Amino acid sequence: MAKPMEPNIIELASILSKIEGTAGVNVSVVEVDRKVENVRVTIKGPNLNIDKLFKAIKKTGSAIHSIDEVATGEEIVDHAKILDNPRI
Amino acid sequence: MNTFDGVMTVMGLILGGAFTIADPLVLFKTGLGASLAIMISGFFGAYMTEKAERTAEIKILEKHLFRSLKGTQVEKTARGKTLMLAAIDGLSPFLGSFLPLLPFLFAHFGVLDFASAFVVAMALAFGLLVFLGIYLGKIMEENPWKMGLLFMVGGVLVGVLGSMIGKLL
Repeated sequence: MAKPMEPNIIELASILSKIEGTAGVNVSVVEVDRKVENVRVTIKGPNLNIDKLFKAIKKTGSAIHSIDEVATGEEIVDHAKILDNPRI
Repeated sequence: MNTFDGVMTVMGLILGGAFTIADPLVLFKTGLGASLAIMISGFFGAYMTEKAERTAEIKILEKHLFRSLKGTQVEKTARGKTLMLAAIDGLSPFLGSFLPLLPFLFAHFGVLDFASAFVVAMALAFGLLVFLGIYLGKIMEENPWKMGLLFMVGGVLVGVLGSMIGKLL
């Protein structure tokens, strides 16, 4: 997602980690622009409150580009490798 | 720097009026009127300028983010900063201009005579100028005493011009 320079990633991670159901947050900077920075946010928890997380992110002025991976259920399911194209 | 404006304004007023106005209360009230005017001018001027700049910055950010920032922390922080800067730009010239006027209020209540009030007022004004220069010098990491002297020269210029207006006109 794209975010303004303020709040910085430390504050962003702190805000998101305080949302109920969130066990851990990882925020890393992917690209820095003149005015904004693109970050990857990974959130893990036993019962994530998606609405509250989205609201908190929007309140910081950030814009969510996409949700790239969701793993849910009783087991964590990793991607299965396709044998004839191991890069996927 | 707005404090500098306030001090210079009141110095000019005191020097221009001290040779013609006999009543210290009249001098105090005139100066107070000028102090309040400079406070309101400082506040509104800074508020409008800062608001315009922050609005422009937010619009640029919105273009980069492809979303509105209305109601976000970014907008709230910008609003808070605008008000804070406007308050500082209003209060600082007021304090700079009001403090040198106080001796004339004391003179009105008989604590000081007019001449002593004038001397104390000038000492306060020059003291403020030197203090501002030293403070600015420390921030700029330049010789603070050189900056203090430079600011004092500004005060001396006002002193000379103000005295000329008071005595000659």
